Amino acid sequence: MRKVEWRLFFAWNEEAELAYLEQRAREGWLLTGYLPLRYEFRQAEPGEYVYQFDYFNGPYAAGEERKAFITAFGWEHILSFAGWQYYRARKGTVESDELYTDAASLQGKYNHLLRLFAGLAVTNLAMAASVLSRSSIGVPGTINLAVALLLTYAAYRTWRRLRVYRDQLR
Amino acid sequence: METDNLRLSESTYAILLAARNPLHGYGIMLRVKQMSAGRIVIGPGTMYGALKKLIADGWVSVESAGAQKLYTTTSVGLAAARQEFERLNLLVKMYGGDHDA
Repeated sequence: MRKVEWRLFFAWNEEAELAYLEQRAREGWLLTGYLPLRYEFRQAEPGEYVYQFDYFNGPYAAGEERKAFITAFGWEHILSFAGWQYYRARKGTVESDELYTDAASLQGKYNHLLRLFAGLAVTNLAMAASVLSRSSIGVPGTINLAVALLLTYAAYRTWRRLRVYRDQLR
Repeated sequence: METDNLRLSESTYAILLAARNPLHGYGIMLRVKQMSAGRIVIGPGTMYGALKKLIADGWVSVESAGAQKLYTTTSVGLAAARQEFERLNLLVKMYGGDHDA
């Protein structure tokens, strides 16, 4: 049996999304698909699972190599969406419940995301400015502006997280 | 990469020591866990990034063995690990107060 649920999680709070997926697994629903806001599950034996996200947006071969490396550690690759990689493992079958286990590598992961959010925020802001320079801001410009603000907030929250890892490395 | 005055992260130091004999990524993780009596467990994301960097710096070499890749610490990597060992050893001696520097 399959079911679909609609949920909104923000990129700066991945712990909430992980907790949601792990709770569904406890209830016997394992994630099979994702589209924006849309989570698809299949029914399975209820159990303790851990989910983790990786972010990779690069050449196909490099992505496959990275995926093969991680799955060799016992993780199941479930899906990719816009660079986000969803992994799952039954609790107790992997040596570490986390893909990233030290402050330096976490810093690398979130530095990458910070650049992504900041870059997209600037792009959206430029698009809004371009619309505004030609006419009144209108619906497309307002959407660009809203997305830019959301991404700026995402970049800020990611920067705050990075500061914690930076402090740990001192 | 220069090895002088370099501080290695715990993961880097452990990987360099574990890969003194050729091992695949998962094997390195198990060896590190064994060498550290279970205290250091390196996740695959951390291990993947660390190995990539160590290979780029020439501290670890990689060869294909069928579908797997085997990683081995190079002489440059061993020198860096040795330097880190000496730095840590000095810090331990300082704690005991028996360093005469």
